[in-house]
Order: sequence, then structure tokens, then C-alpha cells
Amino acid sequence: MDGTKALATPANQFSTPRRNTLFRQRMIWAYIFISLPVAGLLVFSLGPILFTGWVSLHEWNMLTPPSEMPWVGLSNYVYLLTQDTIFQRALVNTFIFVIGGVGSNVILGLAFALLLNSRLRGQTLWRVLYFLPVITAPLALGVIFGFLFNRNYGLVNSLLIALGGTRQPFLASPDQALYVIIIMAVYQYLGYYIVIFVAGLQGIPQDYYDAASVDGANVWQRFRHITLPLLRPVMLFVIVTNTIGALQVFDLVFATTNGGPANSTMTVVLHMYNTAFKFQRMGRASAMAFILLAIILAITIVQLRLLRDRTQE
Amino acid sequence: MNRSPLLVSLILVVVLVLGASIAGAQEEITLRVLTHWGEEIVLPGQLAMIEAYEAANPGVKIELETVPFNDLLTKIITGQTAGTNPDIFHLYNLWLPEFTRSGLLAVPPQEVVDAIVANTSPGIVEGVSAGGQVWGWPTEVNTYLLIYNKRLLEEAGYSEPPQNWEELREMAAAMTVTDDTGAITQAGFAVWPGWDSGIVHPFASLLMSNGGRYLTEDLSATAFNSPEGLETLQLYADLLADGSLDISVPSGEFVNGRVGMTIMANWWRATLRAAEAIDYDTEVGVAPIPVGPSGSETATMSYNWLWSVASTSEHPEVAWDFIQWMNTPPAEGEPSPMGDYLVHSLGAIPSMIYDQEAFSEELGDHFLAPFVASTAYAVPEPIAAGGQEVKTKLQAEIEAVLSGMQDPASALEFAAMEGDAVLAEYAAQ
Amino acid sequence: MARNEYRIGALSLNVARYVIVIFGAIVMVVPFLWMINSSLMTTSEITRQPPVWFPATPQFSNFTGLLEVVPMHRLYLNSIIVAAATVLGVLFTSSIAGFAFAKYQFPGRDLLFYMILATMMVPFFITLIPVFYIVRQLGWINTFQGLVVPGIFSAYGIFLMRQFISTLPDELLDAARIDGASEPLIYARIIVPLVKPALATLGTFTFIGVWNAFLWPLLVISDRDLMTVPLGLNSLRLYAAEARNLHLLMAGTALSVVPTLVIFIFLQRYFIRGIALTGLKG
Repeated sequence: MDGTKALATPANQFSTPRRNTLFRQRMIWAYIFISLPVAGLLVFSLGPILFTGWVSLHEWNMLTPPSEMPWVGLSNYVYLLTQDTIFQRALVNTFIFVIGGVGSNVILGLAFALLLNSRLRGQTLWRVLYFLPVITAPLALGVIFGFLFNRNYGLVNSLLIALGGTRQPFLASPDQALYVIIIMAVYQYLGYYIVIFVAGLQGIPQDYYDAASVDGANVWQRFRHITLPLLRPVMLFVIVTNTIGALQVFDLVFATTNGGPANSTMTVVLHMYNTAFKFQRMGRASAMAFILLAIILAITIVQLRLLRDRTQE
Repeated sequence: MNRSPLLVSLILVVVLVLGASIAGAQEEITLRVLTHWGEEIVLPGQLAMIEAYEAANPGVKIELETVPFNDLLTKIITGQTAGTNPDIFHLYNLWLPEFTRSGLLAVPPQEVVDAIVANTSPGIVEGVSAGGQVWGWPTEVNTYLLIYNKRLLEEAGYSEPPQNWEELREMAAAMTVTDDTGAITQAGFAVWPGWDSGIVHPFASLLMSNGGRYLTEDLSATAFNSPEGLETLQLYADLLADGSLDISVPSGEFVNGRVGMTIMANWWRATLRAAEAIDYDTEVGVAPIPVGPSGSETATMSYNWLWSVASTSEHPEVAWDFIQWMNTPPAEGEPSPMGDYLVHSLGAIPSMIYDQEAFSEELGDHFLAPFVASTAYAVPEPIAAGGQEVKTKLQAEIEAVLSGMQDPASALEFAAMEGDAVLAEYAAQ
Repeated sequence: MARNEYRIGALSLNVARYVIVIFGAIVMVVPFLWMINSSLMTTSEITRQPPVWFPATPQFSNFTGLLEVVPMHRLYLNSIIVAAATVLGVLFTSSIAGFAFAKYQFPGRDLLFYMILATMMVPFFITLIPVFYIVRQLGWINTFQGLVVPGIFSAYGIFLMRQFISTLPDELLDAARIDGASEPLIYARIIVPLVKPALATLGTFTFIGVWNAFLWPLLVISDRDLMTVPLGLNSLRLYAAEARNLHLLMAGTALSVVPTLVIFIFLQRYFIRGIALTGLKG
């Protein structure tokens, strides 16, 4: 980040006493400026995170005051990892969701970005159309998709039949429901990633392509040796943010299958919600939240390493 | 100088206003009431009751808060955490063990308990009790019966609904219609996937009609993993194999005339009456739960709702007074305001005997009469700590069978194993 | 000859491009058209097989019927109040903190900034209950400030504004200081006008996020008069599940989606710019 560069300058720049006073004054103003936002984040974000960590070591039904909750050490974590079959199921489902969703978003997002980045008429129109689902409430999309993928009167099945296929149960099938939800998630966020990829493509200087053309490189070679390497920072951003978001999927499932049939679409956050508010086991739900946090951190670090290293090749 | 009269009068006004508001604040008691009866169409009846009570009791103000049923528990739990819970809850009796264990509810005054015990059937008293204590005033009572589409049944060549499981299978198969593209346009039998009570209550009613039990008598373990339970789940597997049951056609489709038979509770009446695709008077039939091969007589599960007062309420005596006022007839032979509301606004069965008597005509309706009769033999849903978790686990396993990914025996075995662990854990606390 | 072949090749490539892009656009739009179409159908038309493409008579009464189940007009007003207040709050806290992080040197700056970035990674669920507790301590349950205040401190917003303000030249600030402008004045008179596009981006994102928020309002609001649109949609969803009033559900869904669509169509360029900015600088 450019923060390091900015920090290196002040020492020589503000060397005289007058400048030092000025510097101090500005510093005070800076602290005043950040005081409210930082205090807000401490109260509504950092503090709560620590509190939840504390709760995860206790048993708490949320009906008794937190001062009275019994300490259980790490047993919530042990229970989740060894005994909670639904949690394990939810973990597997969530990973499938992440791999399917992020993979599709990257491939389709990049493909459509390449198409849209070429000289195509009606850029704004395409952009608006592809972006519509991004701004729609997941709850509303869930309702709409519940209808579209209905086994008996859904539009998708009508299309399948018209194309000579056979009727599919989709959301009513434990084998298919999760994939329908992946399709829904890709549908919702694809437009967002297309826009990011387009911006990334526009950041690649045209000279590189021109030079490569002169050297006789074909379309594929140009893509492989210019576009892909130069897009790595954007790719990194897309994969990391999409993974973090996908690991926390909740609304889409809540509004369609609510985890069913037979837990086949149970995700980690939905199970967390049920554990907390349906079964009243806040300690266990908090432990789940921390396991999820650990997974997010681990995956993010691995992704940053992998993609950074290659950029530096 | 000539300004001072103005100043004095201003000060006077301020003092008067302040004084009045302080005095008002001292006299005015606000009670907050939380219920899941929230749709616009069922609100006016409640608001009218509140107005009437406020008019009769100056100084008491009642605020009504509503959330959909699915969110009610979340609301109460978070409200308790936050100390924002209302004075009066309308709650589902399955929540009683956890609520009473955590001191959420206030113990009703003896006169309230006496009035309830004297005017309801023993099953209902049991339904609103936990640990031998009555915790609130019962409102609607719901039991489960077989609801069938008379027209579809006749079209399939039958004049009477099924009495046993063999007939159930046969008629369900006859009422199922699939078009040439494979779309189920009509399902013989339907369940309600994705909703714990919608799956587990009908299953338990069939189980009990097959001579089985849901939990053991002392509530310490599950009892559904029995030969009777296996037969019950096998019935679902058979219906599935026959093609007469498919989770893509849920019970809700009955309203659209696409379901032959389902097992549902009487609260559904209001919905059925409002339905456009079926005629409530001529097409909706109700029959006792068909008896299983190991059962000797029909049985059903019931559950209750009750008005309770929060232990945190600052005015418990006023809260109980309001509850008692709502549920007590103003004069001999008349219904209580709540009874009137339950019957006319919701189409539900009231718990109080005087309300059932006052509305014998309305409750003698072809739909409600069998339900009212069934309250005499209905078994209340067991009220066990951890009951919600057991129910959810059984729901998932039944759904696994319904979607063909699990066989009945292993499904029941797994649900029982996990359910027993939950019950044992709570028993140990 | 070769030139002609090249042209034909380029032309067919172009046609193929349009075909794919148009096909994608249709896939994106059909669910919305279908939603609007269904909101004017009867339930039996919605569920008929083979599908009915257009309602025999458009059922505008669905929308009046909807009002009997949920007070949509009231929900709209509430959502607008909550979203507008949150947007203003986020714009202020994000821009002023972003300004400080971008243009000042002070001990602990980078540490604080990275901490703020790190909170962006934390699952929202972790903070749900504790924040609820705090809101309660403040006596804000069942109030608009309970919905608004926890939402006005945005790590993402601070990050976005810092990135944007970093690109402004320092000379602007120095020139103002030479003219005797105080630091708050520089923020109000120079920074804010210059970052208007970024503020518009952040504002629209925040608006959409708040408008669509579901779980937090569900916990904070139980008073019917304070419910927001997603809460209304949720009760409608549950009501429709029981009664199969699919036509009402579709009418409600359509009404809940329309405001965000309108806002987006008018402000879409700010979205695009904002996304590009976060994506490239991330």
C-alpha cells in the first residue's frame, strides 16, 4: 500500500520547529477526525467480536444474563468438530457452494468482461441489464427463483421440456438443490464481477497488445501472456472477496430451501442462526462463528500467497 | 414591567403542562403485548378488544406488537437478552420448558389457575403446564386430522375417506395425476417439507394412530424408533414409491386443488375458507387420522398457544387482569372476547369450555366439528427441554426418506440417536 | 480476397459476440420480467401447466389485496427514512476518516487502518448479538436509531474514501493552508466537493445495502409501525407459504424490488466507477 511511502516523507519535510508545531496541530486534527468513526467501529465491530469469542467458551441460552453463563472451555469447539453432524454437513455444503460459485463467477465474469470490453454498441444498456440482480434483495431473488425452479410449474422445467429434456425436481431434490442455489448466487453477483474485470482490462495499456501483434502473437497467446498476468491483482480481489462473501451465504438459502431438503442446503451461517435462535445455544453458535472466521482467514492467506507469488514470477 | 404577566402566565402554563404530564405518567400504565397474529386481516379484532379494555380501565394503555410465527421465538429470545421483552407473550407450548427454566415467565395468580382448570379439559391444562405448574391462559388449541378434497376423492371413485393405511395408499394412488411431461398436476397425498411442525406433527399423529409414541413417558428419550415408528415411515416410503407423494407438491397446494389428502391442523381453516380454487363448503372434507396396521384406534397430536406474563413485567397484576378480562365471559352464557376473536377472526378452536359451548353452532361447522371432537382424545405434544432440537433432527431424517436418499430404518435410527443425545444433555443440566 | 475473408471472419466474430451478450442479458432480465408479469396474474395462472405467458386480465387488484396483508406504503416510508439517515451517517464518518487516513501522518495510523480493514473480513454474524446488547443498553430497540447508528460506521466506506482521497494531489491542501484555511474547513470546502463522485458511489451502495437488509431489522424492530420493506416481504412470504397466495407474494416482491431498480438505473455510473475503484486498488 502507498501508506509506507507517505510515512517515509514527514521526517525530513517537517524538520524546523515551526513545522513541527504545524505537524503536531495537524496530527491532533487527524485524531479528532478519526475519533468518531474509530470509536464507532470499536463499539459496534471490534468489541462485539471479542465478546462473541468470550461467549464461545461458555454455555448460554440468551435467556439468562451473560454474567451467569457457565464456563465450558473449548467443549463447544470440540462438540462442533466431532459430534455436530449438521455442522459438518454445513461445512461441506458451504465449501461446494464456494468452489462452484467463485469458480463460475471468475470464469463467466472474465469471459463476459472480455466480450463487453471489445467495441460493442450499447455498453451502458448491457451494464445495467447484467447489474440488475446485484442490487436486488436476496430475499426477493429467493422468492423469484423458488418459482422459476419449481418442479411442477417452474419456467425452467418448461424450457427443459421444450428442449426435449426431462422434468427435474431442482429445489425439491437433495442432490440438486445446492446447485440451484449456486446458480442463484452466480446469477446475483456475476454483474458485479464483470464490472470489476472490465475495469481491470481497461487498465492494461493497449501498447502491450500492439507490440505482441507485431511479434505475431495470436489471440490466445496475447490472452495467455498479457491479459492473464496483468489481471492477477484484479483476479486476486475477485477471488478473495467472493470467497469471503460466499462462506457467509445466508439470505439466499433462508428464502428458498431454509436448509432442506434433509439439510442438503444447510450452510454454516444458517446452521449458526438456527443454533442460536432456534435451539438457543449461543455458545455453540459463537464457536461456529469463530471457526468460520478461522477458515476465512486461512483461505484468504493461502489465496494471497498463491496469487502474489505468481505475480512476482 | 408590562412583560411580567406574560412571563408569569407562561411559567404557569409550563408548570401546569409538566405537572399534568408527570401526574399522567404516574397514572398511565403501558402494557406491551407480543403475538404472531399479525396479518392485517386479523388485526382489527385484537385492536377492538384492546380498545374496549382501555375504555373500561382508564390509565392503562396497551401496545400490540406482532411478528410472523417463524420469527416469534427469535424475537422473544433476543428481547430477553436485551431486556426489551413485552409484558405479555403469546407463546407456543413447546417453548415452555426452556422459558420456565430460565425464569422468563411469571407464575400466574391462583385465581387465574383456578379459572383455567375449572373451564378447560385436562389435556389442555397439561398442554399449558410445565413441571406441574400452569404457566398461562390457553387460547387456540390445534389438533391434526386428515383433510381431503371431496371432489377429487369422488372423481377417483371413492365415497368415503380412508380409515386405515391400506386404503390411504390405495386412494392416494388413485387421486394422483401426472401429465405427459412428468409434471404432477395432482398429488394424492402431501406433506409440508421445510417446516418442522409441518413434517413432524402429521408424522407423530400417524405414529400414534399406529399405537406408537413420540417420546417416552418421562420425556427422557425418543420413542419413535420403534416397530410402529418404522411402519409409519415405511408408509411415507410406500406413498413415495407409488408416486402419490412428492415433496415438490407440498400440503399448501391443497388450497389450489392439487392435493387429494394431507394431514393438517385446524388453524388452516381460515386459509381454506379464503381459497379460490376449492370450495370450502362442498369440497373440503375432514376425517380422523387413518389407523395403522399396529394401531387399534385413531389418535392425534395437539398443541396449544397460551398468554403468559413476562417475569420482567413491572405490572404483572394489570397484565393478568387484562388476560383474564379477555378470556372471561362478561356474563353467564356469553362467550369471552378472546373466544369471539378466536372463532370469528381466526376460525380457531377456543380452549375454554364456555367459549366452545357459546359457539357450538360455528364450531359445529363440517370442518371444525371433527376437530372439536378430536380434542377429547388428542395427546398434547410432549413438552420437553430440547424438544425443538429433537423435532428438527427428526424433520431432517423424514425429509431424507421423502426425497429418497435414506431408508426408513436408518433414518429413524439416526434421528433417535441424535435426539436421545440432546434429551440426555438437557436432563443432565 | 484475403482482406474480404478477414472481414467476413471479423463480422461473424462480432455477430457471435452480440449473440452471446444478448443471450446473457436475456437470462439476466427474464426473472424480473417474469416477476412483474406474475404480479399481475392470478395464483392459478402462475401455477398452470403448460405455463401461461401473459395474464388473461391484468390483476391490478393484486396490489390492493397486498395492502390488506402488509401496509406497503408505511414500510416504504420507514425504509426510506432508515436508508437516508444511514447513508448520510456513512458518508460523513467514511469521508472524514478516509481523509485523515489518506492525508495526515500520525502515530498508529497504519495499524488502525489495517485493523479497520481486518474487520471487513469478519462474518457479520459474529457481531450480531453483542451489537444487539449495546443497542439495548442505549435503549434503542424498536427505534430507527437502533437500525441506523450501528450501520453508519463502515470499514468498507473508510477504505473506499481513503483510496479515493489518496489520489488527490497534496498541493491542493497546502495551497488552502497557505490561504489560512483550517483543517476542518479544508475537509468541508475542498475534500468534500472533490470526492462527490466517490460519495455518490458509497451512498448508492449503502442505500441498496440498507434497503435490502433483513436480519438486523428483524431483531431490532417488532413494532408494526416501524417495519422496513424486507420485514414486510418476509411476513408476506410466510403468509403466502401457508395460503398459497402466490399472486400477492409476487406483487409484494415486485414492489420491494422496484425502488432499488429505479435508483440503480439513475445512478448506475457511480456504481460502476466505485466498483472499479475498489477492485483495482484492493
